[in-house]
Amino acid sequence: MNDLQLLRDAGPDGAPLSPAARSAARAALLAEIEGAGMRTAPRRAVRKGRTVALRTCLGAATAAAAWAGAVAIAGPDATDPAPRGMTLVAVDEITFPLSLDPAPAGMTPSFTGSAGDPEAIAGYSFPDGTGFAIYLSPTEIPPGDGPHHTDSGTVAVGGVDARYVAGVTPKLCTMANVCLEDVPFAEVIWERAPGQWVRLSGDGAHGDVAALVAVGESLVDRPQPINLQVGLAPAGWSVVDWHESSGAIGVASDEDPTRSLTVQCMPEAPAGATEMDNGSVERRIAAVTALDPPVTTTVGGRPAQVVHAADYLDAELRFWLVAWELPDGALCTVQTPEGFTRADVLAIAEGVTYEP
Amino acid sequence: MTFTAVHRSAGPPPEPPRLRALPDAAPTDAALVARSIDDPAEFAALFDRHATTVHRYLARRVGDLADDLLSETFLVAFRRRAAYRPEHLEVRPWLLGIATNVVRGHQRSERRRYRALAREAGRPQDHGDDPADSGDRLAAQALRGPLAAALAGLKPRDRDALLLLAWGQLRYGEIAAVLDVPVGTVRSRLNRARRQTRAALGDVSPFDPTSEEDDR
Repeated sequence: MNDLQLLRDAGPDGAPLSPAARSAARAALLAEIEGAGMRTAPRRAVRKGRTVALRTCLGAATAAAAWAGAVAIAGPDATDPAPRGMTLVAVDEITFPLSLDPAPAGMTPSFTGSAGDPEAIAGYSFPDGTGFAIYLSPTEIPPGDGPHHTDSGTVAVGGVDARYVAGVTPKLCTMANVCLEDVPFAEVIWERAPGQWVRLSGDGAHGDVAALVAVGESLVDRPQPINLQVGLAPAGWSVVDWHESSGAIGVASDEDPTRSLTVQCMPEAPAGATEMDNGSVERRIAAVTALDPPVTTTVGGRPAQVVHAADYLDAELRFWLVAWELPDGALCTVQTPEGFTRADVLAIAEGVTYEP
Repeated sequence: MTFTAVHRSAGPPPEPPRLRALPDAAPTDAALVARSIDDPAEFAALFDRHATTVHRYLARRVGDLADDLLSETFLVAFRRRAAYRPEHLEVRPWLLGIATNVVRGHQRSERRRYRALAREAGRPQDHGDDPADSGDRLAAQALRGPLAAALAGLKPRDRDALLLLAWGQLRYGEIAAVLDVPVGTVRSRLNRARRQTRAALGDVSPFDPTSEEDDR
């Protein structure tokens, strides 16, 4: 053993990144980004309700809340904790507008999008995290440009001219926590239908123009459901956006979009090149400032905990959080504003399905 | 509670969910930084990709203070994103370099922590009843104290170079880039830091004096 290995193995260490700390740091960054966005007038508009949601998320104590903001306390229910309940209604299934026929073997899909927005992403990945992504846009998408591009040109996809670029990424660490070197990548862009531009980006086995053309030619106009679904939501609330790489769906009040709830399911953290920790039900609940002792319960027959909690920076910011773990270790949470009752929160949790 | 529709079953999925990868993982880190110039929101993905790595590095250096410094690191990185040059450095070492600079403002805290860890490691511990377990623990404990003390005794610049190499796992060229010094300076700082660390370990040193990590 040399001294460097000794430092790694027996040198000082610290506590791993907690969900609360991650959430707080991310929220601070998002607030900074939000401010910068307003200063620089970005090309992409800030979504309705998100500005306020991001502000209210500052300091929020759970990862579930951090990605999209979440908890905003407003309205008459906030001061009336009586368990009178809300009217819960079925939520329309969230879908991606296209499917692949045939579906690619051995690959797992995930989806990103927002309600009413024609921009959407579907990613298909092998277990090592390589694969391809389908990005839909109503406007022409410029090809990527980078130091590692080695080839570019045009190619036909279903008889339509498409632009492509290709190259090799020297080092790539995927979300599967696998690091690879000299990974081929490619990108193909074309207007699949009037007003529907497609960008296919692939790496590894799909870092090849011909492979992407084959994927492009297998696209069909058949909506497919995303993996995570919110079965129930309060009447008058709607799904706002979904981001399955963060395992999260945001749902907000139509009347007051600052009132929002977040549903999140994250798969078990993979071992690999860098430390990742998905936590547990107990740790997720313990990461928030409980106002009352957590209650042990079940969701979908699985052990769960639900807690009434307050933001650790702003005690007036109160919320409900329920967490449960699926058989394979995926950790799911639902976080709602305080105006909900515990029964409401648990009913919403029971309606969540996650089938990657 | 009133239901106007029967909700769906929330039972376990028929097949265990498998690991999903980021659908929009295709953009490289460098591409995200570049895009964030015009669209700042793109920068958030870099936090998701690197927060754990940066925090781990910070936590080893400053303990609980890492939670605050993680936030500071990414705020600094975001504000300086226009100055990032992908042809010089990948994003991970760039972030670790910023983290190192952030730690520099807390050198006293860092040194105090190493000294406290060295003292703590020197105290008798309750090792339980398992003889095998206690043997491993004793061996590890014998190293932790001197290692922490050795780090406390290094010059800050030497310590930065050593810990970027050992914990950040940066290459020599990357260390030179993030510390803004020539590679030769990095080599001399590392030589000095490693020599002092070995000397501080003295009798408890378990490593082979001929074992050197390849120059990278």
